Amino acid sequence: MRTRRQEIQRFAVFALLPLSIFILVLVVPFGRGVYFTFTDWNGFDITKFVGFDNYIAAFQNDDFWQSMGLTLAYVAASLVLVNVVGFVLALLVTMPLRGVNGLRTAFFLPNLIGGVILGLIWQFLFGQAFPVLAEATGIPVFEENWLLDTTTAFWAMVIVTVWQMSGYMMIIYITALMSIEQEALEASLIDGTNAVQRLFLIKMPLMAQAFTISLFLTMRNAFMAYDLNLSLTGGNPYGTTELISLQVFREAFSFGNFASGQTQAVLMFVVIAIAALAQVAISKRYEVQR
Amino acid sequence: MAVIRRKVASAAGIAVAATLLFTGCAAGTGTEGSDCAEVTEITWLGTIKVEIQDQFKAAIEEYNATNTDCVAVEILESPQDVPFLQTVTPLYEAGKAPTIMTALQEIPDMAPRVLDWSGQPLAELAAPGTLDVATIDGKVAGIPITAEAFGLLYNKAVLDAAGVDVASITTRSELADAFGAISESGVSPVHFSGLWWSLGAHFTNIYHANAAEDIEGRLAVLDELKAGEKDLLSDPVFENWLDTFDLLKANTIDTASIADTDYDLGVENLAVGDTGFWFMGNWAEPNLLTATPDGEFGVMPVPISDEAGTYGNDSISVGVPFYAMIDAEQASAEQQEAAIAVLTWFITTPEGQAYWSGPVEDGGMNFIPVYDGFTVSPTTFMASEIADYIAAGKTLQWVNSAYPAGLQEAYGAAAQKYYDGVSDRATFAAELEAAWAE
Amino acid sequence: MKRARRINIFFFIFASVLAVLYAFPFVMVLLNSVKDKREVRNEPLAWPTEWRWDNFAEAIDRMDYWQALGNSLIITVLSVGAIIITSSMLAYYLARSKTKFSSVTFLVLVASMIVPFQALMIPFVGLFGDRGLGLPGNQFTIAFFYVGFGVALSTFLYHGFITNIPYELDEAAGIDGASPLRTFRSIIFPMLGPVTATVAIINALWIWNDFLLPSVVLLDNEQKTIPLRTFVFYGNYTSDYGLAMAGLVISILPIVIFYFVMQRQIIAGISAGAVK
Repeated sequence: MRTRRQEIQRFAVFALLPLSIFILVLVVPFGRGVYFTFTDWNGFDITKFVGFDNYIAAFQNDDFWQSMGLTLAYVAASLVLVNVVGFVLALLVTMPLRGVNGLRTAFFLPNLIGGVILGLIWQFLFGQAFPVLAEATGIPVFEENWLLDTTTAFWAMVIVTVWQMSGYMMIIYITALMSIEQEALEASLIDGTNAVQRLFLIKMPLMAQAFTISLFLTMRNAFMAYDLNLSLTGGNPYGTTELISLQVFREAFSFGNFASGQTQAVLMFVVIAIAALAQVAISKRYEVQR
Repeated sequence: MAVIRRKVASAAGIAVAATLLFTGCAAGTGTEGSDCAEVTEITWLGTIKVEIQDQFKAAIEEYNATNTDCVAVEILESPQDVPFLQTVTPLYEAGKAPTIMTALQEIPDMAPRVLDWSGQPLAELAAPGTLDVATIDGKVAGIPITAEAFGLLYNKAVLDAAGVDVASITTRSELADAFGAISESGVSPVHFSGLWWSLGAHFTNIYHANAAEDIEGRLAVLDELKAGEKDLLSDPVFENWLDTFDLLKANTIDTASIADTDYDLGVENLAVGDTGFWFMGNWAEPNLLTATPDGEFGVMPVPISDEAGTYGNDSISVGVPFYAMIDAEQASAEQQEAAIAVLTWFITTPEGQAYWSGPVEDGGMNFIPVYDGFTVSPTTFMASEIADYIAAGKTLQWVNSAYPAGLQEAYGAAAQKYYDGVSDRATFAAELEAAWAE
Repeated sequence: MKRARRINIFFFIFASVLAVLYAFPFVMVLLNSVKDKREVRNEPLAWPTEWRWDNFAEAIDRMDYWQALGNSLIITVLSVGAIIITSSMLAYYLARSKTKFSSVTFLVLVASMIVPFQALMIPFVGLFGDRGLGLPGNQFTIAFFYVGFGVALSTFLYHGFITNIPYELDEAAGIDGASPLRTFRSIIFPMLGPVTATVAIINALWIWNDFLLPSVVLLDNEQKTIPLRTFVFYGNYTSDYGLAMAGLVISILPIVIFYFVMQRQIIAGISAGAVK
């Protein structure tokens, strides 16, 4: 055991600076933000405390709930599709195929690009390129601009999200697939199982940890999606594709309802926290039971 | 694919980290050879609008270089799709408030912390009525930058070929006849854009501006809506307005669908003469002239009543798209004076006016002057037409300046649904009424 | 074996088709970056009638590209370096300290990873401007902020790694008379190579592409980063598509080059981060 003095010394050397920055930049503003939610803050001044009025108003705000619902749907769709696609890609590029490196690069490349720029690229694709392509090839799916209809605009966001994030998840799954011990696979070969059985019965259970991490990362990113939403759909058409981040943002900065926007942001944090805890708890239980 | 769809969004910017006031000329911008004992540094948020940003920057550069007032102006730019308040509130929080800001809908938010223009020479020069929108609780929070107008833009060549004279269109039926004549000449009558801001901020204004002959009456309609007491469908003006909406919808090139809506497509259709009319505003004139340099593009009223002579039928919607405000909370007295000096230079000196209202190709910003004593005036066809409408008093108020923040977005969403045929009249009216509930 | 080969060919074709789909957006942007505005709008798929390489020169000019690139580089390098130093040290302290304080701190760090930036933006700007600490809006300030926002995830990654390093190593160094800082610097930190790569890459990608934080912190035009500058081509009503596409190409290029140079390290870095 270290002495108390040594402990303090170590704290001063290693932790004081990082923690001070963390507290200054993140903890204090968060506390300040929570404080704002109990006031009539208008972005400039505070004149009085309003108790829980902002929270009551948020719970009664249809736009807030609509965004929240849309966000949950978006998170669910991304969670499933990003990981299924990422996993399939990982399986493909771990096969003995020619040009595997080129394939990996192609799948990973979208991940290098930020949400704002991605959104601008895809806005051009959905708005301009695809309709012309549909006309030229006779494939009717993309004939209309997907960004102008609530349902298709939602799926457009999901498609772009899958395109962007599946490459990252692919890398995680590749690593997990490669680290499966050969003995386990060889043993199963002797048992005479086929490839599909091996995948579902042997490989996937051994990769449980990779799934936990991928799911957590996908969920966190999807809940916080903002850049892509802003630059791809901007919440249109009819303001029906506003995910919660954008909704919070607009409430504060476009409409000038700062206290109410801040309140919605705090509620958003609570929802994400609950979802993240639930996901990790469920995944961990699965990991242990295998 | 315009990232920015918000018509009245003034290009916003973010401030400079420099100390706002610094003394001594040594490091001042372009102060060589001047006799300034002291240069006052101020900041100007944004470039008024994106389209003339190069001209604006050149003007400020010249102002700084000549430096007659011992003022150095720094322009603060920021990514463009950024709401005004998003830019301004952090700046105020950080103690780096911009000295000059231009905005419209956010004037009420800013009013408590900006300079009162009452009694200032520039405010006295401003055209009658242009200060109303910027007057909050008796305080004149901003002065107008320019006037813009919207209505039915037309391509004179197409109308001439179809034998249509805009002066003879005084009712909705006559507008329908004109559409018919254009159709017969083999051209689509109109391009009716489904852009949310065009419908939500501008087209809805046609109803609100026609709703009553005086300001009090028009504001009373807004108050009734706010109180949830207005039944739009029982208002004959609203009915007329919807009929005109339907008329434009029925005659638009292609089908009315927001899927086929694109600002540039509107420019192209009207510029090359694929359509005779386009519901838009004079900000499109430079775009039209770029596409067809020798074209003549004018603007005419949107007649909604079927009785000639009804209030509003012969008028175009004219308003001030942004006001200049000067910070009074963080700017020193010298800085506020300096900010007034810059605007005075723009509005009252020949050099400033040449930048303010001169033609775009000569480096001017082509602003329609809204001040007494202008010797420079815009030269283009549409701009001079608008000047005539203003001189004849045939202008409709921009009631949309009085829309609360966020309303035009909600209006736009409702109007797009009606435009797309997703909602019927009753639903549309109900959604417009519901937009006020939030 | 013949059947196995046929299956492989099938999967190869399938994977290639997917790769083409993944690359398609990039190809479209490239193709349209050398067209003029009208052609982009009307013929987005066609081969350019005239190759307007001038688009790039003009885009570079309008974006103040070289300056923006320099800014992005400086900010990314500065921030990532600072994050690596601070978070590895913090993680070392937390992993080796058995106090209640350190476990609570660790939990707070983990929880903070899900705080949305929207919840912090305004309250935090106010703390650092002239009314608060008076920090100027420059590269150092923003690097400071990135440390604050990035330290949690990075510490978490380091923490997992350091707990697997036997404590005996520290003790042995301590017996040799090395100070804790020296032990960390010369023994522990060099062992953290793989996870340092992870931390560097994850943070570099985030910071390079970040939009919201620079948009509120970088006040001076001369300090704007590439993502902020990409927007100059999008106007209020109308956008200059050809130039915008050229702008997108040159915005993406640096990070793509970085990827090709560092490919091995990047892949290894992500892998190490996922499976500790």
